[in-house]
Amino acid sequence: MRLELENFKGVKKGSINIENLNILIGGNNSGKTTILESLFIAPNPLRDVFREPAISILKSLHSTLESEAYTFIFHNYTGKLARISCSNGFKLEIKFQRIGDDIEVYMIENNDAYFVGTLRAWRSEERGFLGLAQVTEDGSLKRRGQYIESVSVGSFISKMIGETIYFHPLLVRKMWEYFNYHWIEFRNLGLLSKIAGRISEGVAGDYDDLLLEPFIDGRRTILMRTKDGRGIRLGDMGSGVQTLITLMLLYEFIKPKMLLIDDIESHMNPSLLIHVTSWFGGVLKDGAKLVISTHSLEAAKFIAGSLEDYAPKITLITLRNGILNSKNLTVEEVEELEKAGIDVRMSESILL
Amino acid sequence: MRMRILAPPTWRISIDLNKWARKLNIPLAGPQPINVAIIVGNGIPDDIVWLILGHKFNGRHVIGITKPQEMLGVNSISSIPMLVKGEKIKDLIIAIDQETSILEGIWENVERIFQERRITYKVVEEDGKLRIFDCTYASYKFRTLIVINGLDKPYSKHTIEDHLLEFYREISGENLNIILSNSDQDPKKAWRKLKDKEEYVYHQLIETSTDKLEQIFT
Repeated sequence: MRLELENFKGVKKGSINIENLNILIGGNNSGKTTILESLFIAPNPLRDVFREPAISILKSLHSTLESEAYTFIFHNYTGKLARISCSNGFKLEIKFQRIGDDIEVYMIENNDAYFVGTLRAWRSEERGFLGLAQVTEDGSLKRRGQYIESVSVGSFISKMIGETIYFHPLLVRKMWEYFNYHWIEFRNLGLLSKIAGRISEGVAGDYDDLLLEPFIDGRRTILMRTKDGRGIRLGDMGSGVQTLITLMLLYEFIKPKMLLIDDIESHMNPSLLIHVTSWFGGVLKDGAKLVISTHSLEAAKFIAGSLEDYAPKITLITLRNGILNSKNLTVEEVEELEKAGIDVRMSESILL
Repeated sequence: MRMRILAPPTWRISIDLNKWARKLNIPLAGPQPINVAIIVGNGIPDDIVWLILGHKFNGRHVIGITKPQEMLGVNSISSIPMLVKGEKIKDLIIAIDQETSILEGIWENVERIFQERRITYKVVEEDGKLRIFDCTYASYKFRTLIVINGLDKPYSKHTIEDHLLEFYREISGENLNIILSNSDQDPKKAWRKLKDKEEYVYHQLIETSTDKLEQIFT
């Protein structure tokens, strides 16, 4: 699938090929997170994810001090139109049109244009039923004033992409809140003991269940139960284990078509990385796509090498003057470059 | 010239360059675009000498520096295709030690490796231990400057340390005959024996005029 971005966040223009498994590497500020975020909102920026609109989740990640404006969507904060486009024979386009302080959100899937909702630049969002839209003579989109009353925006997802889930370490607490609301479903689907067992295979500790129980202050918490019956609060476990449990629960419950993970190796000891890579094999086997970012070449080579059946690509990314460039490399190519003394993370300016 | 390290950060050359850049107060380059790269065929202390030379000559220009893995000396030429494939590198500098070889033998080896790697070449300038080639690999055109380290002095082999030892002899007035004879006239061994003088020598190189540096290293 080809992903194209225009005036979206730090990217003025650029594109990247999304395969079954892309491992994004590149310098800081090279656009890796922007790619993940664009894929996260592509199925519908205003759909409900973790009980709030997807775009609102990105807003919370970008908020700085008290500022929570949606203008982060536009390149240089000044653009009038931001565009995310995905094509694989079919075509999906997301357009953010700025009109005064409002940002109108449209989706065009193949030839059907929809009005999705309005973002108030300063913080809130308005959405209801999916609306119809039309392309005007100047190429911009306009509401037609008609709504599809059987389809609420919160539940509408592009058929072409399907659901995508974005995992960022700063979203973990939001995800736990989401688990809290859905706990009975996790329990009755048998996910909790299954995931506790899987975690035991990858870390020191023998766990058999996950529980939602009162803690010392009488308030609810998520506990990992050891086989000898003790409970350990999830927030008291190592960061790598928290990441893995959260990621597994989310994936197994939502079963997205695409899993997007920022900085996969952060907080992970290599032995846990081995474990999570084997789990990725199951995700790919389910038919989901994986897009992962990392700063660790060791992690990139390990994941790509272990999952070679899925034709993984190590994707080198650069962003210069707002122009996003990318190059897909195989593990063998990365290793050949390394033998020549070229670390792809340090040498993007001679490779791209 | 400011150096931009291209090698993995855990490699000896990257650690060494970072260490000496800090000690000598020479800034390294960040991720700026580059179109020139230096391959140090013999690693240490060639990398430090190039760090200093780069700092002294044209301080703003950014140059990539690396050392290929398992491709020592003249064999480091084999890494050229990987560097030029991205079409960004237009000039390459390759520094190799003469060791115990005769110059003509080294130039023959250089041409043999060029041929093996399917790099077409034409000598455009030659001056003893330095040759400049106009090269083409596939559709990529670039210039390669190869410089051979070593002086015509009675050492058992010839390396970058020849230059450093002679420079030290000159600035300190010290007679190095005993150190050299205890090192079998091997400049690498002798330089290791002067480890406590290393930092002093590098600082003195930084203080030396560019004209004088040209004399020392050519």
